Amino acid sequence: MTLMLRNLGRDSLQRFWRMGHMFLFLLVSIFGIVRPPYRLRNLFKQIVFIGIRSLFVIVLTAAFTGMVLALQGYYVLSRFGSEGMVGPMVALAIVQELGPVLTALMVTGRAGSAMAGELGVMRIKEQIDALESMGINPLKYLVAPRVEASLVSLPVLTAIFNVVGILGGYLVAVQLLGMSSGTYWGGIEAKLAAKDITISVIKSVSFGLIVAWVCTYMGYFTTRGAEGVGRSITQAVVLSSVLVLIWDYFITSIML
Amino acid sequence: MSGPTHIPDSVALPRLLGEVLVGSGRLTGDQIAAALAEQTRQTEPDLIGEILVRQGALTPAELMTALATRFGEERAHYATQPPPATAIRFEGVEKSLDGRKVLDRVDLEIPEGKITAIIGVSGGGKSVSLKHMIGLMAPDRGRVIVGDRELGRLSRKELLRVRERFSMLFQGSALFDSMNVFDNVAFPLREKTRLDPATIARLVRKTLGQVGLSGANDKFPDELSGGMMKRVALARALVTQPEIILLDEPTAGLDPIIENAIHHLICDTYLRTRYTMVIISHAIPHIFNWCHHVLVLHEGKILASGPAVVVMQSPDPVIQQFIHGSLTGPIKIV
Ligand SMILES: Nc1ncnc2c1ncn2[C@@H]1O[C@H](COP(=O)(O)OP(=O)(O)O)[C@@H](O)[C@H]1O
Ligand SMILES: [Mg+2]
Repeated sequence: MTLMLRNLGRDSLQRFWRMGHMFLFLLVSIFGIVRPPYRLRNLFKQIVFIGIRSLFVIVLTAAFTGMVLALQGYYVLSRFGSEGMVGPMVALAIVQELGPVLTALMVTGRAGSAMAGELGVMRIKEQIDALESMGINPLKYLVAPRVEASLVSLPVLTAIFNVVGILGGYLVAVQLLGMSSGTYWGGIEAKLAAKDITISVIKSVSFGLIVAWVCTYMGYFTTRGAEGVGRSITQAVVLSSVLVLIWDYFITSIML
Repeated sequence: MSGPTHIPDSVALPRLLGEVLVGSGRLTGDQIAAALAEQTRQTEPDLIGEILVRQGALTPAELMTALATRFGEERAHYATQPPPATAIRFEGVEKSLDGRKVLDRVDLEIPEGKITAIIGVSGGGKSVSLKHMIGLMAPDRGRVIVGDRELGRLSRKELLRVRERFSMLFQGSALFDSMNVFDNVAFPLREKTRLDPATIARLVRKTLGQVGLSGANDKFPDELSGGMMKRVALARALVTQPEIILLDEPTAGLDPIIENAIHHLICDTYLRTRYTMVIISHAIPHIFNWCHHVLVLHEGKILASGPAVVVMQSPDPVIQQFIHGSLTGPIKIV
């Protein structure tokens, strides 16, 4: 029993220490973003990797999300005789929730895991030590551009997700289920407020920070060889996804 | 690379092995003797290779022999001299990793401007001690002093400044996977100097030529053999012309010919530059021919330390067992 308590104490202490550690890591990396030298080439490379290379999968996810929402929404709403509200329902769900969240989850899976893996390999192959030995700050050189690129990419990807998702809804609702195009767009125009878009942007920016932060942290502190890299990737993806969902709940509860 | 043997106007910059290899011709023993003679006549002796080149064409083998001879003399001479200034000093350094004591109150001194070899069985803490020298690891207890600065007392900025005097070749080469050979070698110059791209390109090509990798510019690390990776890493360590070079097993896993070539290259670089060099090596007994000073690190303690010619003759059974690689003796093979 005492052993259990002691273990519990030690575990929570370790967890506490780790949280502080992660927070420090974030602070130092952000410090690295604002201080020269600025390595624009690194940043550009990361934007291409995180942003542009994720485009296809985001468009695909968005289209099907919008389509299934319209389909579901149509059948549910038609029971209440309010199938005219399919447009706003699709738009609000996507812009406020599904756009930012699914984009963050897709980017975590595609780019976040790669970030953790890449940094993990650099750690175990002593490439991070090599940077240090040359007098280069690896947080600034490796982590800062990824955080920056993620902060820039996620809002843009989310915006694209939102637009494509609403278009996907249009495809199903209007082209497939025969709703009038005017009802679909008119409903959206009437119900979608500037505040909804603000929520979308705030969410996507903070998700961008979470994804890059967690994934680079996990990769950066990889230990124990190739197996460790695998573990870092798993932890990065799981923790980043969970944090995104928890944070999403917080923001939603505050902003709505 | 350059065409036939051509002496640069500034003879102060002697040519290196690789460069000479390219434009080699014929040379007799008489010519080497003549060059050695001229060297002893000079008040400020030139490198033997330089003199040989100045006198005419030269084969790589002959230059290597000349280099080895030259360095052999220097080694013997070192043993007779009072110890030189200290570049790096450990005072009671202790370090535990994963609950195991890796360094146990280590005191050591790296002589300035000399080649020091650290030898010892695997897992003895050699790499860890090298990482302490450049501040990549900090001791749990004790002090690491570089020049007159104690690393533990420096701010991060000062530590970065001290690190600029170093370069390090890591045991696993630590080349950047995402960059080709040229960019890997150019990297420290691009990041830490204000040299223009043309100068950087020239320096990189020259250094890659010296390690015998002129044609590999566009290859990526995963396309290289282990020996090539080591040589690229060596080029990356040499290109910044630091004062102190730390080499962690620069010849491990290489065939004897390349191992020999790398020892010659290191020696040639040393004779040209007089950098302080620390080499971790398993190339026993050869490494004794390529260093002034030897430290034997065993189970986290310094077992022996002194001029190579002295340590080699040490009666200590552990050292003798290590030098001869015998299976029986005080070091137990589990
Ligand atoms: N970063 C590290 N974390 C944990 N243990 C380490 C680390 N680096 C080295 N060690 C351990 O320290 C001991 C000495 O390692 P090392 O200095 O690499 O030996 P070697 O003399 O072969 O270079 C080994 O037992 C190794 O497992
Ligand atoms: Mg080692």
